Amino acid sequence: MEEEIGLSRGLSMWHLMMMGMGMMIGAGVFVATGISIGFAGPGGVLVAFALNGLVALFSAMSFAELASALPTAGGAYTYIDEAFKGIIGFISGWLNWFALTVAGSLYAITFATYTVFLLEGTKWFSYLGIDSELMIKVLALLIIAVFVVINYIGVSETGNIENLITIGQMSTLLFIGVFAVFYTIIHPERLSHFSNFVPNGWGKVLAAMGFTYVGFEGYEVIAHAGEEAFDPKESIPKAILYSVVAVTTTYLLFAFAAIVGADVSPENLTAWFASHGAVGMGEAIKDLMPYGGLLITLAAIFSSTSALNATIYSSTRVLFAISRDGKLPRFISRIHPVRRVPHIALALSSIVIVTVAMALPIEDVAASADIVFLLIFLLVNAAVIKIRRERGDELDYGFLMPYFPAIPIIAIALQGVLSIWIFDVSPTAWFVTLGWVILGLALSSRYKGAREVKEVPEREVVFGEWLPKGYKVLVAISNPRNAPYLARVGETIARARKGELALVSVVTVPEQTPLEEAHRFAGPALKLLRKVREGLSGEVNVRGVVYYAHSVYRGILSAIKNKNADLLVLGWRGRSRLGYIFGSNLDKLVEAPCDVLLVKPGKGEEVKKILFPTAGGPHSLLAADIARIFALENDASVTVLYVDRGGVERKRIERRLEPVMRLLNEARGTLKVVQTNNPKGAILSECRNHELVIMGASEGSIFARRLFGELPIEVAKECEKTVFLVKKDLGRRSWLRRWFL
Amino acid sequence: MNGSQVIGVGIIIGAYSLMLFLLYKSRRIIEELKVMRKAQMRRRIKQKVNSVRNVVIRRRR
Repeated sequence: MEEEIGLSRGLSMWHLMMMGMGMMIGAGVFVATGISIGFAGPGGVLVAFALNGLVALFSAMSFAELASALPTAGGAYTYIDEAFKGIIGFISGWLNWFALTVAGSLYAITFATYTVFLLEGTKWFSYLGIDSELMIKVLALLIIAVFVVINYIGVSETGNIENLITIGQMSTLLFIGVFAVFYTIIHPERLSHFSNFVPNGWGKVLAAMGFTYVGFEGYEVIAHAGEEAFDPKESIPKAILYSVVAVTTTYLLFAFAAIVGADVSPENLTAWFASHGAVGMGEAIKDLMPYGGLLITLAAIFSSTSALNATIYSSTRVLFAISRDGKLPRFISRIHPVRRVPHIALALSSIVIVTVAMALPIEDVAASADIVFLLIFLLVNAAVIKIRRERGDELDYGFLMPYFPAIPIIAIALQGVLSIWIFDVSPTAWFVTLGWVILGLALSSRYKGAREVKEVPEREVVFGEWLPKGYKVLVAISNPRNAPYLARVGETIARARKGELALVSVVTVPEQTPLEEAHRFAGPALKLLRKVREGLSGEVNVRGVVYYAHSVYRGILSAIKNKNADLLVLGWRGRSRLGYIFGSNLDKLVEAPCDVLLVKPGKGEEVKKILFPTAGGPHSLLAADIARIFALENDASVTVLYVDRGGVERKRIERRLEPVMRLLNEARGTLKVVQTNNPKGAILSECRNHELVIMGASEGSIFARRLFGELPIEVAKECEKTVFLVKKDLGRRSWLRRWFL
Repeated sequence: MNGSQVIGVGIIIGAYSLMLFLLYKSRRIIEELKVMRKAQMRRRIKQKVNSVRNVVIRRRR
């Protein structure tokens, strides 16, 4: 037996892009665009967005280069610390933490502002006579509290919801942008809104660039995910660069829509946006299209909530990392033994988010976030030059930026100028940032003597190696009650197919906790693996594998891809979770890129009779083969049950099931045809006379027959005996069938 | 179109085109480095196989 411990790699380029774009369109654009049009004018904002896209791409190239060379490290702080060490490394981490918390405050206020904007249209809101400013602060506090609790609980299964929100945001903004283009074709007079292109001069365009920069940060979260990405050397740089270009295009269209949408004379356009402030965008889109106000408000609310969640866990992670590296008191990096969350780092991050959100007006909060992000990106651009000069030969890069070092030098110069120019918009933001740097310097001198923490290896092979060939059965175990049985099922199949068995257990930690910390919680999983191994016959080569992941799904998917598994064996309790067919992880895992056997263990009876209900189809042959293996193993007979609903001739049924029967010949297979209109009842009634039920996934169309199909799942739920649900991997065909047939 | 508009549109088109050009260039670099990595990996595997074969042949002798 070999035992291996490794980090999971479950994120594809698509996942990474969704993460990056989700963070970028994190509400900053909804607030900053309207305010910026108010001082830079309509043309000024479009120029600011185009140039910001370019500056962001310059910095994104630096991130892409560093992330491709150091894929297991995470984020700006790590790169700057790697390059400069000492005080600059600490200050970059300190600023990074502040930037993320301030961005969190901005998202909370954006949520509250747009919620109030939505409510202000209702009668009861004006009837109650609530002060809007007070309401914004109260709502901001509430939403922060909600997400702090969610982060404390350690919810990690939000990946798909976040992806959906990102797709929703992008498509809403693109839809509004494309609508505006067509609207302008029909009403070309709206182009006159650009007649006063930069009413307050080009200097204000620079100020707008700095002020809207917060909408162009967020792609660095892709670099954070380096340790979890498939083929990080290729997928991370591509995802970073594509995200920046996609988001810039969206912003340009969106800003264009707001400018042509505002129902105001060209001369008064800039003043109109200035008077509406943060909700100027919403007012303009409201004028542009029916339900535009509602659409933009919902997009802003969703964007701000998803971005707030992400910034809370990112800021917690950064503060945790600084403390773990010995640069801040060690108690900050404590991890909650039950929740597995760095709870003290979370509490401190929450305090800063609340304080900034309550104390500063929204313009100053946005400007503070801009200044700090610009300074951090400036340092990353400097880091990329230093690292390539000093360690370029020893590092294995997946991406090397073209026109080096011209691009990072131009980016440094532009970011320096932009950060200084923000003083023009908000002097308060500069004072707050300077105060934060001074506080950081004071703290760093106090903890100067702190020891560097020994780094925990991220990938640790305990012993053994993988054999490259042979049939591989992967059994996912977590529940000590059914784990031994699942392992025996996997072993039986592996033995019959002359293959090998991998027992996989996934140790999860929430997104706030770095994966390297997951090893602290590996104890029970290792114990379970060893215990399960003891119950096996030892006739098959068995490996025990522990994966560290932020979700069970990602961990197992990573194991399947890394080990080229042929069959995945999963356990199911036989109950559905609300909103899911099997459960949040199982629903995704049964779609894994390999054959899947879902086992619902029943009463521990000796298997003498196996029931195999089938109507043919591509999954039946695999199910028949598994029935044959278990029949031979237990010296049992197999009843092939065909439920006939339309009076089909027996000869035609026999012809249809001929491949199945041929497979089951050596396993004493007999065909039984039952004529009924209630197939579920017929199968359940037959179940009583058998000890094991094996069913292939049914073929069919979308919705009614998702995953394994409606009938097999219903039978599996109600049958008290052990049930195996079998699904053959049909590759792309499977996906197409499910959605289009 | 007035002077500001001409300059502004020029900057927008120029900046966006430069972005797309840099993206195209970066993509090519990523693909080239990928090909190089794969070639290097193949070379390493070949070297390893050869070294194992040599050891086996030597032992047999």
